[in-house]
Amino acid sequence: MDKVLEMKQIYKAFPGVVAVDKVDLTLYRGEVLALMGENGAGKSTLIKILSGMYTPDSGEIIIDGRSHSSLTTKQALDEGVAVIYQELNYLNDLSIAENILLGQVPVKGPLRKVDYEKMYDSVRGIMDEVGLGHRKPTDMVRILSVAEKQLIEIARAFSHHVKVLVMDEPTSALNETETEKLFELIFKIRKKGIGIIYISHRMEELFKVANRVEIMRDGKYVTDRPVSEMTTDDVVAGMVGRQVKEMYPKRDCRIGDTVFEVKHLSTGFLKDLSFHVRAGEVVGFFGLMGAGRSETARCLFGAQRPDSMEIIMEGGRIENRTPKEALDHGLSYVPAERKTEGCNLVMSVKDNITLSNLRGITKHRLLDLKYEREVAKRWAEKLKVKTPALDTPADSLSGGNQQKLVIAKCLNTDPKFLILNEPTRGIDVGAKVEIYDLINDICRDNRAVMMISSELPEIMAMSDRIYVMCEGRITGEVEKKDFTQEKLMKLAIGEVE
Amino acid sequence: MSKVKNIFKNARGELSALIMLAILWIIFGVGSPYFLTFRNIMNIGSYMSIMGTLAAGLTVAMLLGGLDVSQYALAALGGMVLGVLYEAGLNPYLILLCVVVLGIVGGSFNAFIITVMKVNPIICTMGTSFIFRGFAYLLTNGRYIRIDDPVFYFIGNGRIAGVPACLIIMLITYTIIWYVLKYTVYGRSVFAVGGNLTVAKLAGINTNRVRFVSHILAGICAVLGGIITVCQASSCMASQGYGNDMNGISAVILGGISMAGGRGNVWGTLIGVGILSTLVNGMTLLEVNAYWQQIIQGLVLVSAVFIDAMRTSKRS
Repeated sequence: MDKVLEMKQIYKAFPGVVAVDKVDLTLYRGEVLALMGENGAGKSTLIKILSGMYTPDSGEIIIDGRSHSSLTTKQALDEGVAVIYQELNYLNDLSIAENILLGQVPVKGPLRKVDYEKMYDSVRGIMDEVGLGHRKPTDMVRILSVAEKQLIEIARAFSHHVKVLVMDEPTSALNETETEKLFELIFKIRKKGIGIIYISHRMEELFKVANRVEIMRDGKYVTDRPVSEMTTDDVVAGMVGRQVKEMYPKRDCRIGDTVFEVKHLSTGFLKDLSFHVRAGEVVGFFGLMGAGRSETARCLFGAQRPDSMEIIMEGGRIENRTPKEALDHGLSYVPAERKTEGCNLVMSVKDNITLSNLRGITKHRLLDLKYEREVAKRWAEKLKVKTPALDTPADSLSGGNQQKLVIAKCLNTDPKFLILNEPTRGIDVGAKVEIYDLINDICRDNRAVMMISSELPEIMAMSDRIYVMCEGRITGEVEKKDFTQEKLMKLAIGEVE
Repeated sequence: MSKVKNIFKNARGELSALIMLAILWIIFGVGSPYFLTFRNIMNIGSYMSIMGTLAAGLTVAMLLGGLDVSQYALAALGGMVLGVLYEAGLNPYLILLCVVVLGIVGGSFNAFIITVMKVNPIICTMGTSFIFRGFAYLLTNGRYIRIDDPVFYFIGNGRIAGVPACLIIMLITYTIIWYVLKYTVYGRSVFAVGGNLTVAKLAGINTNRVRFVSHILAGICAVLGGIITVCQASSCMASQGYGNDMNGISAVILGGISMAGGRGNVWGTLIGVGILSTLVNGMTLLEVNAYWQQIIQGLVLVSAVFIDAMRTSKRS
């Protein structure tokens, strides 16, 4: 088989972190290579180097025999590299044809008028090929389904005479039939001799669609082997780099009385939720996207106004109308969106850590900057935040370290009840384990934790009890001894036994 | 050594502004023997005190990610109120107090529209600038008032050890604002809100109160500028500062404060004000045509922002 793409010894460092460390990748014509790795393993950086968004510090990219030390986005396109990102790129208010030929619309005459006829003609063939034949080239993209919008991106790649097609989590927004259709299309594309790099977290897809797997971990190349020689366990072991059991440190603490209780929480979407959390306990909230878990957390924390809600904390009724009141009552919240809700990227490491408890660093009502530095330093050391200095702006830290800042900020308020929303999303394995350790520490102090997570292994390992939500309702409460993936998943899709 | 390095690293925008100011001083110093005399430098100081005082308050609003284009109009209204009360024969200190209260009221008016009625700050202050200016004309039906009082004269033209009193007022304003931004919970909150509103809210910061206070500060600084203007001219008129509305904003941007908010420093603004004032003074000394002066001011502003944008894009 002949190689369509070779990436050799690619190296790329960002301030404070080596994202891609001397990674090799080979892609043959007509094959699907699954690129696997945990979040933060360096997959997306590698792909961005391939698509010309990042310039590698060193290494070589050989496409179709031509060698480059780096690519611009235009060069990458010209060389036939097309990337379909998880967040699709399309313009809702333009036609299908215009979207497919974005940036290469045919023109005619001295005034360079758009040649609509030619434009519509030239996309018809491509549309048939990718399975958009039932649509007209003049249809607005707005009316298409997500799956069809994805097909537009594939069609666009075809219009650029693609040789290397990268698909980043292409099935994350598709249902089962749409996924099957996409796989058929991938099979067709493969046959045309195009090389496909396929990124997905769904293990079962990998075995359905890929010929070969390359695994990355912590920015490094781990292995690449034909799918037929691998099992799911091999892949996971390669990605995690240790036995999965060790990932979740054990916790031994006595669970006490109920310290936090919510009754009759309702909003337009949430339907009469009641639940409780005991001292020293981690209570998991599991569910699919949009089940209402974040909304629940926001209501508890005063960031959203519910229609009705009663909170009883340590025996007394409290009301959290604003986040400030919630903080005063000893709640703290680590939001799911690190970059938009959790971390102030413009501010320094130090300023982020103390942000939720500025009063804690005042002396005679004025900020004590020296004391603030001590506080920040203590947390940064305790949480092992990797940063050149306390004054470094948060936006030059890696995702995992930013997340640690958010957690430090919350812990600095000395919370009695901590709400964690996807606390380990998008951070590397090492940092994950450190965060699990922290959660255990919090419990040992007899505080209570509510943890929202969409990762089954994580939530099962970390929780003492799990509430499962589906479409705004709590569909089940499961004790630790009864945890099974099947059970939780069934409850999450609303199959109440 | 590392300390020096740190200063340079943290300075960002201010540093390029400072370099630009230094270059201007060298050019004008070579071009005119009079430029670098103590007297002329104090002239620049007294000239910059109006724009400087206004811009100090504006800095706070812009650090929030907001804007206030109504300052010059509020300054004019403050000046007219000063004149009317002076004609009524009030005690000058009481008059000053009244005008400052007016600044608080005007600032609160802006703040109310922006935070409670949730109108975009640019649109809001564009509107209120018409309102303030209209009231300023209404007070005397456009008539100007001569002012002859030792207290006011001293504010505008008096000197302490050779340094103009108005320059001292401006420097005190900067020191207070610097101190407030650096050492108070409110000041830190300004940066938090400007950097990311959602994060600030979830951190338990009363973001509306922070924005409210900031617009009041901008209002107070505006009337202070108005007072200095009137005192320097020994007269007040409603059209005062008309057409200068963008000067304060230019100075703040020149000083390296990001339009997006959350980043910057009030001393940067002072340097920005220094650049614009030096330009006017120096070009007048070199007898540059007044229309060309405008063009050059514009070019300086655009190039400064351009240099800054280049650097920011390089960093990311």
